[in-house]
Amino acid sequence: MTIRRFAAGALTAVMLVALPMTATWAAHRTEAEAAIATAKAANEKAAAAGIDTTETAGMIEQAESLLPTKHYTKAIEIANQAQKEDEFALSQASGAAEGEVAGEIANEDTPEKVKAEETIAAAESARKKAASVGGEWRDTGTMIKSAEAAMKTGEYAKALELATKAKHQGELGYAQAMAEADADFPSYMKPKQ
Amino acid sequence: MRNIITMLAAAGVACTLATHALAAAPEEDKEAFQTYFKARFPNVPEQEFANGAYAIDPIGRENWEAIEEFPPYETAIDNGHEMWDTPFANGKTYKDCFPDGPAIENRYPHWDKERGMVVTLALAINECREANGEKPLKYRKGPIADLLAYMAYESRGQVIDVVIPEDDPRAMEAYEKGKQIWFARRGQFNFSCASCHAANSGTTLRTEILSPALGHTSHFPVYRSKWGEMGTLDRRFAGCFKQVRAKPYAPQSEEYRDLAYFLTYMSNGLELNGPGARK
Repeated sequence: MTIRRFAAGALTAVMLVALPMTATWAAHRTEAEAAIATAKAANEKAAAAGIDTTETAGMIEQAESLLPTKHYTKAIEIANQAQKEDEFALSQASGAAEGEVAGEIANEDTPEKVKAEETIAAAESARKKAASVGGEWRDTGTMIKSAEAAMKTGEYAKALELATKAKHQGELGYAQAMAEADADFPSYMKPKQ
Repeated sequence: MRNIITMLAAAGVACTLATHALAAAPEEDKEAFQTYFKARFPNVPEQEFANGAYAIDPIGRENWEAIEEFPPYETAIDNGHEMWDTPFANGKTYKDCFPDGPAIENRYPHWDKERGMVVTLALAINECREANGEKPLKYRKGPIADLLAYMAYESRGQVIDVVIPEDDPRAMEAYEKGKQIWFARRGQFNFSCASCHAANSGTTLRTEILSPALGHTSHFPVYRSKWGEMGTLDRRFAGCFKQVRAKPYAPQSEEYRDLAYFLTYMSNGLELNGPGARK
């Protein structure tokens, strides 16, 4: 057996074993079902604590609806988000139940949280301003939604970062549209006179 | 009295001259547009521009000609034909809306003076459906692409002849708006349609040759290998916008209808050759 054949065979064997174990491999239905089950458990726990779980229950339904079409990666993403939101809401509610001081700390509008909320509002305003002149960029709205989702899981730093980028995009999109308001034939397309 | 008559006559002459000057602008634009591409690609016969990148890419053309022997849009034409012949729930058919038959693509887009808007064939189809109690079709793909494919096929050979009526300044505004959209830089990548399809037409973007804009609207709807199915001009507009990281306008929005008005006018004189097959 040549060295080349041996190496090829060894590589193939390694990949057949290693790839399924890594994130390189596409998500399997069992992984999606597991993520949904975990999300449901968190959802039930949150509901039992008196938290309004209508939105996250809807997200879990949405994840389940993706299984027949084999969109397992997306189903996992949505289920994980629902789980994180319910767990965060539960932690907030538990903090309030444990005592007055603990509850105050848990429910406090921290400067980070306030800053993130304000920046999201500013980003949405910038997005709408850009949209009003046909200058909205492709990803601005998605970034704002991601920032809002991060707020629901207590990831305020992440929310702030996303909202800051979205706000910047909105401002740039508006400036761009205004600068291009009189766009016309460029000099290289005009007949030479 | 004599002075008033003189003044009115002078005003009338001035208005007539101004109207002709305004009307001359689209014609001058078209001449500049077509001259630019003919100079950039001097070996391409005029009608060949309707074949897009396959007019300037010999290897791509060889593949395309092989594909055209068994065109991937044939099923769409058959489906569209069936749609044309199938009565609505109220017993009427598309022929009741379009009495001259399916070979009418060269009448679109056109300026609707009564409603003060550009009307495209896709819009007219859905207006026909709604007038007969049917739900409108989605504009980017699906059944509307099939029906448009059938009508495009029946209209092959007709000469593109978009008109900007001189007696309605709103039509000129729509044309100018479409022109502005085509030349405006947009999105995070700050590209205009002209960036790729005029300035860089014939060059390569990753593995693809950028097609010249002359003839762009002649062959829609298209079967695009990338999509694996048919798609309309709305679908392509949206795709291009997303590629430069701009948010697309809504399908058949005023913006996209005005854009189609300008872009199709620029190809006046070319023959329709849809539906098409593209990568």
